[in-house]
Amino acid sequence: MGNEEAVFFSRILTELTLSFHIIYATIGVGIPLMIMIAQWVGIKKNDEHYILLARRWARGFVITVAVGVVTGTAIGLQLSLLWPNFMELAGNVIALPLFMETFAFFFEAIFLGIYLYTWDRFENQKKHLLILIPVAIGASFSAVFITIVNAFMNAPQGFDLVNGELININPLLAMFNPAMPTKVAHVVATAYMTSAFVLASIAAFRLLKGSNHVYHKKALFLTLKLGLIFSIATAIIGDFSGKYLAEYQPEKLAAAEWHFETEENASLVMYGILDDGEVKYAIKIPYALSILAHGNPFAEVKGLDQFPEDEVPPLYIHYLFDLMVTIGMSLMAISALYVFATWRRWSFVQTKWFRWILVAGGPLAMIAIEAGWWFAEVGRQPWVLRGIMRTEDAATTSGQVDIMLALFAGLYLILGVGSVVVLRRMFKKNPVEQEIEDRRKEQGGDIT
Amino acid sequence: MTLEIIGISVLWMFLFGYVIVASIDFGAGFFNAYNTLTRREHILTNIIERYLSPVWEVTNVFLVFFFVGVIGFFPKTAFYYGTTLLVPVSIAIVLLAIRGSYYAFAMYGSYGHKGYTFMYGISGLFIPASLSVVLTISEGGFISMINDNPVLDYWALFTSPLTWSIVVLSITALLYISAVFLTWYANKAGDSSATELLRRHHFRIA
Repeated sequence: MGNEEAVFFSRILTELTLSFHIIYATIGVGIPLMIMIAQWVGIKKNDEHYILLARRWARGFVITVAVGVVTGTAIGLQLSLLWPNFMELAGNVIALPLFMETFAFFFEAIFLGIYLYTWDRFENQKKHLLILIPVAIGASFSAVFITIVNAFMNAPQGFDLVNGELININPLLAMFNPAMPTKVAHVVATAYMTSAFVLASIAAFRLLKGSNHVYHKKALFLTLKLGLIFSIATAIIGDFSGKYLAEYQPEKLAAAEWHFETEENASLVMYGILDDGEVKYAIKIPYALSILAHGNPFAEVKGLDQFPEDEVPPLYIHYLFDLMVTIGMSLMAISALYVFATWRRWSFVQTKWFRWILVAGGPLAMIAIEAGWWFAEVGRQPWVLRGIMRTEDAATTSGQVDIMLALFAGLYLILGVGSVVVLRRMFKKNPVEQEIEDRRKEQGGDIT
Repeated sequence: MTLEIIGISVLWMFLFGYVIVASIDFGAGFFNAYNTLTRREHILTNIIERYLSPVWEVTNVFLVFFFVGVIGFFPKTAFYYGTTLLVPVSIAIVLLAIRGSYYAFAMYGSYGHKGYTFMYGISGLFIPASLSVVLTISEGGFISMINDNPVLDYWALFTSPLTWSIVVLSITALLYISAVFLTWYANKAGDSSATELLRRHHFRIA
């Protein structure tokens, strides 16, 4: 039929756009909160270092926001260009959250402009901090609304399906679908968590590369404390997500956990490989899957035997799930260790090898974000709108998707390299030592 | 009032908003490049940057509002326009993306050179050209249904005088709107040499 190619390339292009956009989007959601906390701590403790931290983070943030905006516009349009049949079917339901997402961004962009423009313009620093609140709210609510769209694709409700059309739409019911609470909470918490670890990784890197300034030590301790808090939150929400899946998308949970037969007292399969339908080298934790799915070690968990073969997602999502959970748990352990050891004044956390682990934390957190989204999206297959429309029926019939894939791959390469080069230059040209020196001259010497 | 009337009114509002704000933005980029070429950039750069830096992100928002609104009120358009416009709209997205991000890179990261200024200026003319093609297509006659799938006839589109007159009209209108606005803006800001230069630009276009 020839359309298989268009479906294939549409999926690849969407995956590429989302995988690239999510890096900047995650930073875009999390960093405003980090800036706000740093500035607030600075005002509270009357410590210029934290204020400077907020200043420098905000400066870098503007660059990542720009890439987030343009790639976000790209995915917004690609939804209609690559998945016209899906948008025709569900467009009037998801337009509302999409619209609100854009509005939340609008709100954020306006206040971000004012915030950047008004450094040093207020006598009272607290008033400047107040402007940051709408920025952080706008950023987080963009994530909330766009995740609602994704939640709707996983658990569609709030309409009647008549002759292949969605009618009698109740937009609120559609937005507050069963997938929404856990999905939204998970996305927002992991964005905060990842942003904290990315910033921690920058501070650790600076400390390794010769600068022993107390500014970086303060940054590292603050961000790892935040990273710890949000990784604990993420783990708790992750547990609720398991219970959501068991109730509403049992095939996704069963595929992710390689749970083939429905049984009670189900054990959790960790790691391992699949060889001819047989699980090898895996670690099995007794009762753990029943606890994850139902909060009860003896509960029955639906296996893959309950579903028709053409409605089971690809089994490789197990690896993505494991990757995400392993990284999340390790980051929680590392940050907990660092915070506890710093409190007890153990010196091993100041050593080189431990700092290299902290440097790895940022990129690892980003990999976990990617793995998590791949798991969420591939785990919904073969559906684009679960139970209603299959992915292959949603795609465009255009024959030029492959050329567009090359075009966009080039674009993302340029944007990715460009943003890294610009960020590096920006901070190399103006290292923190020099900025502290400059500010001291300006203000007459109350920073050390 | 029916839902369709409400919908189309809201959409026209967004579209007008976008056309006006974006015209100023695209035109400003073009004038900046043109004056760099004729070595008069020092007169205009200041006034253009003062206008552009707070609004460039907001300009994009109007465009997103518009197309999300189209799909929301008229979901059938996703099927016809989504399938046929893959190539022209993708090109417009790529140009918009490069334009927007490099504006931020240059502005906040002080990263830029002349070649980039020209790219910025030229892309401001290509984007409206590629977007205004949608207007020609909407007049009908360029999309045919083959095996129940809409297909765009590129040859007919690019040889139609209607296409080119709309493209030329969109570019001149854009430059005119932009020159008029920036003249007013420079005048308000009390920058008399920039006002004079821009006034000459918009007389020439008119």
